[in-house]
Amino acid sequence: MTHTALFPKWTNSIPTVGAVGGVSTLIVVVAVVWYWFTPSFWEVGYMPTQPVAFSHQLHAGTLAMDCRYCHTNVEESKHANIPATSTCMNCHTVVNETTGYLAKAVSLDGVSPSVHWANEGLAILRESHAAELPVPWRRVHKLPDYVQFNHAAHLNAGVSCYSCHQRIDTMPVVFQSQSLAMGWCLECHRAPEKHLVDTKGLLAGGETVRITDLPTIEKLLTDSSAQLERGEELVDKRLWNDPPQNCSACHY
Amino acid sequence: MSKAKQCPSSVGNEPATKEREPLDRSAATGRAYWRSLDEIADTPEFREFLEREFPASASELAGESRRDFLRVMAASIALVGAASVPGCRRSDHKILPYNRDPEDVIHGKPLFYGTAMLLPGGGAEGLLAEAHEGRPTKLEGNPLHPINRGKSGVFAQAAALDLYDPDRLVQPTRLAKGEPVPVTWRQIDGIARSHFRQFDLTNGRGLAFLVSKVSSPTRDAMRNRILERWPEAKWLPYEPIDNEAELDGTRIAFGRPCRTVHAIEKARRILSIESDWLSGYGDGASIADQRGFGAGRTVTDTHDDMSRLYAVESMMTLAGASADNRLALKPSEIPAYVAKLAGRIAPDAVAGSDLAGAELDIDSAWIESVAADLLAHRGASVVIVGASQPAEVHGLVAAINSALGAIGETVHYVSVEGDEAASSLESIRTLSRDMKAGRVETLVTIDTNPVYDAPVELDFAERHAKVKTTMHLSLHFNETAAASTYRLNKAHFLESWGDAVAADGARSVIQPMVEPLGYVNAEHSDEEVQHGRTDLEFLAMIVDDELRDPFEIVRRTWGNASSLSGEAFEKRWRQTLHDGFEPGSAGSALRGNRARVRTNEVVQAMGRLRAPAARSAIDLSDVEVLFRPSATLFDGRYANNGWLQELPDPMSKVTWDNPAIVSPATAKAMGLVEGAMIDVTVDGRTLTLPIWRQPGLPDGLVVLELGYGRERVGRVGDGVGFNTYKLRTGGALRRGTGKIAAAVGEFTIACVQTHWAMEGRALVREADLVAWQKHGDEVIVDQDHYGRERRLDFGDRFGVESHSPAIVDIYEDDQEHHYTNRLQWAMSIDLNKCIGCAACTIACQAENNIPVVGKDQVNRGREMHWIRIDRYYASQVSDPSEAGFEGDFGDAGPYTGGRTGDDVDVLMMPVPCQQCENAPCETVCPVNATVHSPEGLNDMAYNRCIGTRYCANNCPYKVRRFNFFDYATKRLDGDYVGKEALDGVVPSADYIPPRLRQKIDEGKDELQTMQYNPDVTVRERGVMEKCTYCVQRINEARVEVKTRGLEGMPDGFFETACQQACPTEAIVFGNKSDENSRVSQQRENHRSYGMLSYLSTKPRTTYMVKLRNPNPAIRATHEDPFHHGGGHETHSDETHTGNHDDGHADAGVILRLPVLTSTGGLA
Repeated sequence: MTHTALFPKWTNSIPTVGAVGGVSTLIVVVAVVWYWFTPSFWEVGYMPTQPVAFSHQLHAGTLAMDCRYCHTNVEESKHANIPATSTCMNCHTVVNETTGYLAKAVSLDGVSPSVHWANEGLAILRESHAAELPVPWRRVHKLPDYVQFNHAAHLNAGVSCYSCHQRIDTMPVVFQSQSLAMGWCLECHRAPEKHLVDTKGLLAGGETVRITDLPTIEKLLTDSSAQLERGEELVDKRLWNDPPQNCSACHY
Repeated sequence: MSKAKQCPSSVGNEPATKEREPLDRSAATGRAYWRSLDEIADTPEFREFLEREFPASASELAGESRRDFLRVMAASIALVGAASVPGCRRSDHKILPYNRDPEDVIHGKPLFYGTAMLLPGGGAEGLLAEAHEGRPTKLEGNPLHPINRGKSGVFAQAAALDLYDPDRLVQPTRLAKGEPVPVTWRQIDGIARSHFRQFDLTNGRGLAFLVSKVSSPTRDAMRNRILERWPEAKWLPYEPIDNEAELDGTRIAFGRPCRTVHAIEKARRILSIESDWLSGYGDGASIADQRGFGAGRTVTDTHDDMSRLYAVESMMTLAGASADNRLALKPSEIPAYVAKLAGRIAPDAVAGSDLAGAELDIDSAWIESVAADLLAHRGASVVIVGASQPAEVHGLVAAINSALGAIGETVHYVSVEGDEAASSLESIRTLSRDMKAGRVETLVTIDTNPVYDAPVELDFAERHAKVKTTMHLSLHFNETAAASTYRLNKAHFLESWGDAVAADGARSVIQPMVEPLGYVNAEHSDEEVQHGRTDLEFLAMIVDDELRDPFEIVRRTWGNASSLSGEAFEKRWRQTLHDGFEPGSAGSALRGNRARVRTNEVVQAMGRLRAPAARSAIDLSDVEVLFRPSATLFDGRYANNGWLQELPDPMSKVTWDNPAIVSPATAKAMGLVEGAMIDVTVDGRTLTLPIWRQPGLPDGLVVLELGYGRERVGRVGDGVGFNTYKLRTGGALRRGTGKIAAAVGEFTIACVQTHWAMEGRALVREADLVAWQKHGDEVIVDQDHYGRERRLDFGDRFGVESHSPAIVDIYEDDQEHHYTNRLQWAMSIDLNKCIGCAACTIACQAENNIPVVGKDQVNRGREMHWIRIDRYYASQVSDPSEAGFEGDFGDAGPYTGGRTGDDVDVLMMPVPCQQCENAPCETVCPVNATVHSPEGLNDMAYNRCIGTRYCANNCPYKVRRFNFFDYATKRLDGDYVGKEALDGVVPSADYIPPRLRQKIDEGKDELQTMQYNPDVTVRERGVMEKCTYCVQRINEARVEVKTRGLEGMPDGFFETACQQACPTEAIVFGNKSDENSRVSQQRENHRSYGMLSYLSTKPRTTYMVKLRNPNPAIRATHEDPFHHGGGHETHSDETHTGNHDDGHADAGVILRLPVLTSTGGLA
């Protein structure tokens, strides 16, 4: 009896190749998902072009304006409000009709920031001011709808802007610098001492640090051993219960 | 950034800086949402990834150069390349800040403004409106207002949804050649001015106004202006549900029409006669009455006394449900009862009356003993009578109250005048007669809907059609609007200015919360928004007032009425706006109001009443008919409010319908059960509607609820229920006679009492006051079957706890340190105070974005209310064989109500999530979506939930709710907006993916979503949800406490939504680890018990045993409710211990009635 070669010989390798291929595909898929399908990959670095070429680097950095000059409600409300056009106009208000230069606002070095007013990038702001319409800012930091975050709670506990927004005073255009993933939140909620800063008596001579003074706070927080010591003290002193780690602290 | 820098070869040349250099991101111009690919990849993880792959570059992975390197790397990764397509990432979210910051607005923090809501027929409630960035989302009672004191009722809670009703009229239209033509308000103003000028010649003859009956000084002022200009114009206040009997009765008794205002908190003995005063709506009932009743039912220790409520009534009302003694009489028998009672209390007032001597087949204790009891509490007792009783009875009750010394103490008769003193029936009859005679040329209807609700014999619609010009102003395109030549959109009370006077005289300004909602009229290019106008604005147009701005109009009235001017007036005005009512006006109407009853007039009036017919067997061809406003839709005005349509009737627990209510014996005489159709014939007119059996009703009575069967109101209310106004004549507005007969057909009624039922266990517990006084202080310490110590206090001795083993946790050691957090939330619900009004249910719905699911879904048991009110019937079982009604009641045992059903007790039990410490739901969740918080909350993480529904299955309290469909994005009636377009294409809109559906519905439902509380997630399909103890409020409060630097949570710092609304303060919430908190004290009280606590669920929500304080002459009281009797359904012999005699409750005393199913069968 002769055997008919129903299957060519190469088919013998199918199970082996299939198994090896299948497993490697699976590994690759898992690895890809594991790595790339994460907020830290997808979210960090999101930097939309804003309608107005507002520079935090200039305002918060060079001019050293306090964050709370514009984000006025950040210590009282869950939202760090985006300032109204009128807030911009507090400084950028009076334009000299002949020169087109700003007459009122003067930068720290005594030079009028007139270039901004004539700037193409400020067209929308000028329009907004004239037409009494809001500026359509693009949202950078966006949590899912089922998460509730409260700025006031964090600031009042002593978590500075720096912990979540990093050196926003060095950003000409704001981008998302942290993943804002739940794991990232919990890192801090599990070890709050790493991020708490006291606003009083930290500097030499008992000077007060503004919680919005990002360069100083960066220095404090990156000096990890001293920070841990101070932070633990603060946790004891200030948090009469630990930062919550249960679901309903943020999800409701 | 130059191109050269992107070259990987240049990487090494850049110094590795520790600090991040400022980036030149001006180059990032390509994609709107992306900076550049390197930024996406700029993460530690990616760095590590690269470290592994390119170890040589590791030292250079920092700073600018690294990013440049990565830019090239990343570009070569296809997946990342794909990510640069905008669609792959999140959509572009805009933030639109204010142009100029409004004063006081802190973004993210709601503002509260004082305002008021006018009540139909007169009176007002003082409210606080919660506004999120100018968007009102919720109404609360104003804590300062004398009527509300922070509490609010069902209708006030639901008004927030009315504001955003997508079916509101959005622009004025005019009927031209039978076709509606859009017009602008400016045109209306012009038309009104020229049109009404013609009446100057006739002094207003031919002009008629049919307006709602409200207590608003400014509207009265507008009326005066109109009548001044056109003295012969007809100004007719009209409400379909009015209390004419009260006005006429007080006219008899005092010679002038009065409104009755009770001070229930002072009353120790209350006799309620056919009155639904505890419901908080209609008939002059108010939140203050409910609150007063709650105060009288406060029992803390065994020495506390408690008020006693008698109810003599036909329909089972909330007052009857809470009554300590209840007597069911036919409406026609009640006058005789009152006369007989008056014979004992105020004999002068019934001298020579037929009724006082009439035959009435009742226990004589109901007269002798009740009279003695009321008299014994002279000055602290009160008799309340309802609107369905004739004026003569109202007059007589005033005489009784006078004899009881109640006037000025527990009851105030406050004179009314003007619109409030007008008779609605007289108004509508006058108008109808004039229209028939052709004497009306122009009819203006404001806030009234006579085409729908006028007495049927007036043929109102027909006569209305003959009037040449008809103008209608209302929120909805209703039946009258459709029949009118001008259909004008009205502003909601939260949108414009107005004023109101509460029953006690407190004067409020109605303050707008939001600009009137409206759309730009496409027909007119001037882009004028044709938003609604208030009645004041419209009347100002008609009378061509020099003022058109409602704010100015209201201020003018207040300025004229005030003795102040200039600065002082301004200050007073601002104070009024701030407080929500004028300082000093609270209670002004009640002061010095000691009316004297004119006995002779009362005697004369009583002479007009005839004795009732003797009782006979049920005669279906001669039954009494009682019309009552719906407990949820009132007179029909709330028919398009999904919350209220779906709110179960407090007694029948029926949603979305108004069946004809009869006693079980009457139904039996017809051989019918729920869902069968019957013909009800009144005065020759017949209506076919389904039947519903209500225990506690006298036989031979059919109760019809008004407010349903709307033809035109909107997508929610159209065609829901049956229009019982079609049977109501002017001669029988409240009650009449008729006949009933079985009809063909069946009808599905969605009743929620069939769901979430907990069979056969002593879930709801009650005892007589004497039992509490005797045993309240006792604590039984005994040993269980296993020799463990068991402590039982009063509340525990009723249930299975009394013979179940002591609750021992096998993880006891672990549990010790589980709940150590300083905040431990708990709730205590005092069943003795709960009256079942359901304000908590609606408040919860408003606070927590709870969707409406529609009748079909309710019928499948999918209603979403987080707090439901279980209603139990109970009756005394002496001998079941004497049961008057032998129905097929399955396992639940026979109904043993007597012939008149007067011995049925009702118990109400609000059931939110019990927040068990040992929560059965948590152990079965496969994805840890429901877990415990250290503060004792049973957390529900929606985003984790995968919808297995194991938790709901394992919840012994059945408080978990599942989103079977995308209810939240659905229309209020349960259908999608785009449904019409899709009908026939797909079997149900539910099959369309949510995103697509959102596109279909786009824009149209935006209005409705504006009501949503921004602090609470809107849940989507496939997600479980339940009561969270208002965790958003807890978190808000916690942040607030820390921000203010407080050292702990003060008791009462915040309230849950249900607690805040509860008018009787039955619900107390707080921190149980604080010994002094109210909730801790209530939990410690011996009346406290946990529902099903023998399951060791350790519920955080506990209940307090209901107490009744019956008159022993009417019903024997039980001092020892704990004797061992039959009826223990749930215990077996193994769990018995030796201590039977005093360790057991007689569960047999309370016998639950069978669950009545919606399809006509019995569960």
